[in-house]
Amino acid sequence: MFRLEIKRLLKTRSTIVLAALALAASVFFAVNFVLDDGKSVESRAYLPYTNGLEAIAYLKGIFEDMGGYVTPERIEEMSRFCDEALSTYQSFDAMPEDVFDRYVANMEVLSRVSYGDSDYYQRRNESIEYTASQVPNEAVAEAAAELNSHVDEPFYWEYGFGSSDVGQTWNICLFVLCLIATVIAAPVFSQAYATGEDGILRCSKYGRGRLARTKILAVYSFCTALFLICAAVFSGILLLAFGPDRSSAQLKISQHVLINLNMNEALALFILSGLLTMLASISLTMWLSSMQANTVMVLVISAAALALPMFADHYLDYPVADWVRLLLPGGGTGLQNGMYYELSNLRFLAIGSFAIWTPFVMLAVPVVETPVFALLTRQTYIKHEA
Amino acid sequence: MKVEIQNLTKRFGQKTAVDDVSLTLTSGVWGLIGANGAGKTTLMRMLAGILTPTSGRVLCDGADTRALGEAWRDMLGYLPQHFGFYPEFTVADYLEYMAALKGLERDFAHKKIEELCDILSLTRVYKNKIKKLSGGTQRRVGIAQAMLNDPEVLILDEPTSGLDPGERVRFRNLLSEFARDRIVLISTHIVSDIEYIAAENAIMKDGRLIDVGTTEQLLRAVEGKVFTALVPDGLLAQTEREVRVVSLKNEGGGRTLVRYVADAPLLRGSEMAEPRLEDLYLWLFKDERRQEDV
Repeated sequence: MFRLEIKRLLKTRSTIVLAALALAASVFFAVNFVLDDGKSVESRAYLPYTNGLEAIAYLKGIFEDMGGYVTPERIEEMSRFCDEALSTYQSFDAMPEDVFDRYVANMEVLSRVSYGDSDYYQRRNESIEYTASQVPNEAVAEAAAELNSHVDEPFYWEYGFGSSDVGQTWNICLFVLCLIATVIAAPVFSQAYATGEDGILRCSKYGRGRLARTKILAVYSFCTALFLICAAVFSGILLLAFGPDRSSAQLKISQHVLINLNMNEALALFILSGLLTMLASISLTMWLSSMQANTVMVLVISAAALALPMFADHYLDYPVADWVRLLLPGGGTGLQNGMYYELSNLRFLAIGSFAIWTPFVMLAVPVVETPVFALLTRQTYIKHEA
Repeated sequence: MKVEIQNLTKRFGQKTAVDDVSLTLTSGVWGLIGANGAGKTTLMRMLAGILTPTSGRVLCDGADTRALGEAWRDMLGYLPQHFGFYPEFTVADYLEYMAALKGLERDFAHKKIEELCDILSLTRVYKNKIKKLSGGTQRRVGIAQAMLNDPEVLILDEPTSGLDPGERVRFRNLLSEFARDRIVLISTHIVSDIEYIAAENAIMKDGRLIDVGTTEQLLRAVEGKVFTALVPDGLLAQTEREVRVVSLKNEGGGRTLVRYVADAPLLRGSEMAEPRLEDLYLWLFKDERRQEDV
């Protein structure tokens, strides 16, 4: 039955078109990002490159020897070099090419550590303590301090995809993928209701619970495979262009990241979080689909639920906004939502004396919601009467 | 095998679609006759387990079909009035999909599909998309899916609509053979189909079961009430207003043979005719006819 349901999905023209669209979107976002990032790098380097890949290659060259742990001594050393270069040559135009390249490379690292503050690690801890203390709940400060106490120092830096703003682009790509998966999932039950096919299906031997389960599993499998292919394409293009990145997320995403995480792991985390968000979103869509025959209505409500977290911050106050944003199935995606932003901003959800870092919530909520919505879908389908 | 419908009622808001219907179905072809809105489809849907009755129950050999669940659906074949299908399916895909849903073994399913396609003349269109087939052929695909699992209870809602006369004859023969040790319940507007094959009939009106019996038993109600008369063409319009006309046949020479039902002969030169189900249908559903006319 599962094989036949997958075959049915693959035979649906709209599914194939949407899958192709998802793949094209992943390629487009990754390639566009690589080319665009190359251009922005080029302007930083004052070099006449017009090709993004060439600009990236240039940066790979100047950062080649920069990989390593960013210790306070090294911060001091890089800072001293930059000050001396600037005081010696007075302007960038006067700097010899090798000095300019080294200056650019050093400044890139220093920009991640408060521009040469040798007490960076102390300042970072203070910043975390201060930010967490702004929340009128002591549990937040305690939880932040507890998490931060397990973060290993010093941080590691090297040139790789993390030197770009990949998180933001991935977020947009993820939103498009979720939207496409939602469109694929929307007709899974409602179409059979609308065509009258449902009447025949549900009075066959396995036409109730087992069919519902098979349909749900088929959609999950198809969308997961599609998502992983798209994520692999996106990451593959990125890794090919920029190279992998073992840098600490604290230096590439935000100093407020409260766990030990390098950028390669962060990319995997973005993908995992995206996958979980997509599964929760399509679970909600399938539940809506099991309720009514109007596929357009299912799509509209699903898309609204997917987009709603984006508006929560604008229209609701803290902490309600965070609760709403994170508890909705689409909380892990949006133009200003997602794991990248959650890691960047030091946020906690607190109930009484219990506080939890929002990236953990972002991972946990879809893990709970997906089976709940799947179960509701199954039950609604079984009880449905036209 | 015996299927007992016990005091089945279905209400949609204020409207009672099926009102306290009780009927015992035994092996053979059963015709379900009634005008539009009589409650036939609702009754069939409850029997198929698609609709939950407001009250009453259906028993299969003494066991409640709702409790039987999968076991009941395993015995069941159902073709709804509006045959819906996934638009992307070919006949082959669809029948294979339905066979899996009915829990048929793959080899058995292939043999059965081949056999049914042969009987229902679907072999030539086997690889075609269902949505591109004619209405009659789509109907035959619907019949094939209903019969895939050799159901012990076959429920067919308007199975012959859209079939050409040849296809209808083949279908009737197929059903007659099929129904030897099974229950087949058919509802159709084409009363002659039922007349040929139904051993027993149930007549519904306004959600109620008003009569049950063999065709011969039911026709007793209109015995001596069916007449034919030759009427000049000029008087046809007036005749149609005055009597319940079953059929009109132009006999040439400016005269038409009118077949009508009435308590007593109303037209000059009327002769009594052998009653048929169609006459009974018109006799019983005269009000609906008049309402439609209005």
